[in-house]
Amino acid sequence: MLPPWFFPGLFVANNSEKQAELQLINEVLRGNTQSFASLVEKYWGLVFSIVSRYIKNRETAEDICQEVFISAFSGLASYRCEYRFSPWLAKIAVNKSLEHIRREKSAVFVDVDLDLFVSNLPSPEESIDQSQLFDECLAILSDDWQIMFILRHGLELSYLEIAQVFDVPVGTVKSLMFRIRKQLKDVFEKRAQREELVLSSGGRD
Amino acid sequence: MSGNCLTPERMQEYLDNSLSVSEREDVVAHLEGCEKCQRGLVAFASIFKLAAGSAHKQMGAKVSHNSLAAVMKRIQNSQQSAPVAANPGAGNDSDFFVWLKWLLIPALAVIMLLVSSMGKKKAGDFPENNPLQQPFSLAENMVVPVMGKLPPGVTDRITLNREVRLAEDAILLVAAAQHKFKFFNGAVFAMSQNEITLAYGAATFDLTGLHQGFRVKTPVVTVTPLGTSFELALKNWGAVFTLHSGRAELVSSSGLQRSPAVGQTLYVTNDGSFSERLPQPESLSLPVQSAPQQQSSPTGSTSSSPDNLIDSF
Repeated sequence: MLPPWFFPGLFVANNSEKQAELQLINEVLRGNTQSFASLVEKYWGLVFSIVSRYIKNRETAEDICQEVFISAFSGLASYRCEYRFSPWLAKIAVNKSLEHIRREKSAVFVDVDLDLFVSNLPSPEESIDQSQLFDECLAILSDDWQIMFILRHGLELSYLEIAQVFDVPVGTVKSLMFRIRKQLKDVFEKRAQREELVLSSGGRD
Repeated sequence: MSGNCLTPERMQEYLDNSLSVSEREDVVAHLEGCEKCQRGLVAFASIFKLAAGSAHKQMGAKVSHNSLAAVMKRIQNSQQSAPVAANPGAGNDSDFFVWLKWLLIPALAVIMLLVSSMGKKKAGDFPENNPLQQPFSLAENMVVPVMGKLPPGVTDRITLNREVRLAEDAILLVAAAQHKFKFFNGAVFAMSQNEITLAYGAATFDLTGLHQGFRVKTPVVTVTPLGTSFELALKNWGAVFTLHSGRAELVSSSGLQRSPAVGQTLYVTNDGSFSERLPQPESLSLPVQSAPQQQSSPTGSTSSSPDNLIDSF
């Protein structure tokens, strides 16, 4: 019989990272503020990617990022260690951004129109790689959707954790994200068809 | 093959890895004979890949030296400007107000504690509208055989209040709510709404979401974890507990309590005493359990009903 540590699995890897993070948080709570710098360095990219979706001016976005970390620092005692730190921080980033632009949260989940996607696509003659095309498609989505894609695919947050960040039902996040992905897939397939058409018509000339 | 073709949602669930074992097997079986769905899945996989690439690119911003310095300076300033406790015995004109402040602060703290215990939500609590705040339950669970076969009577989930017996060489992963449990060493266990009873073998527990009221019971010790990952193995002389992260409270069968430190291993003998070292053979009492294969129940009962398993503790 092999020992359990022979099967590291998911939670051994997650635990070591989570444990290191909890240790940093504990150090900060014990008064070692310098440990907080490590958290800032680790999560600046995440926070900036969220804030900059809402606030287009880079300098202002950086100021808001600072605000986010100051808030996280002052609220660290209320952070509950059974949750992951990143969604907690993401929630502060979303709230701070919305607070700054004083926008109604009802703007979340603006529906996406496939025609809008298609009409915004670069023509097949234009040389554009897939990732560039994907970024352009993503840019058409609402700010909140772009953030959700970052949280899901970049940070691998669960649908539940994303729902917590935006205070919406988990089913809403899941079903709408499924639909956006489906639309993106259709867009890429349509573009591939158009490229084929261009190539074949070019071949006839 | 088109009659039972996979829906776009099913394909994404497959790529999200959110299907049960049997659902996954169904998807794989269908894919083997359906080129259309294979193409669809490949297209979705490329969207997932592009999304991950794009997200990582977006998250790639590094904090500038100036921004980091600004954050740290503001934190230090906020700490310096925070009210510093005046020396109450300094004996100047404002002594009365200083003493008044010292009296008022604890009183306010008590009031705030009372208010928060009356169910008022704390401002900094995450998340304010937490879907996890629904009653904690292990009922919605999913099993994944890590090694060996699924235990008898288990298909894709563990039925509550029913004894589960693992083969000696099997390892079973159970995911419930946000938590993951791995059972091995021929584990015999039962799950209720918020409790796992481990009667034999060993298990690891990884709790990452709300689990208020969750407990792990064994014949010799009951564990109440608080944001925790830990490992528990039953031996013929007692149990071994190792805390990997978070906190946990242990109460032995004799009523003794312990809260081990992270990384600490505690040994609990059958008589309910704790030790930080592996107990020596002469100090051990008679075993309370033997291998489940030698008797119909790990607790000596002839019935395999969950009631007997749980009640006998």
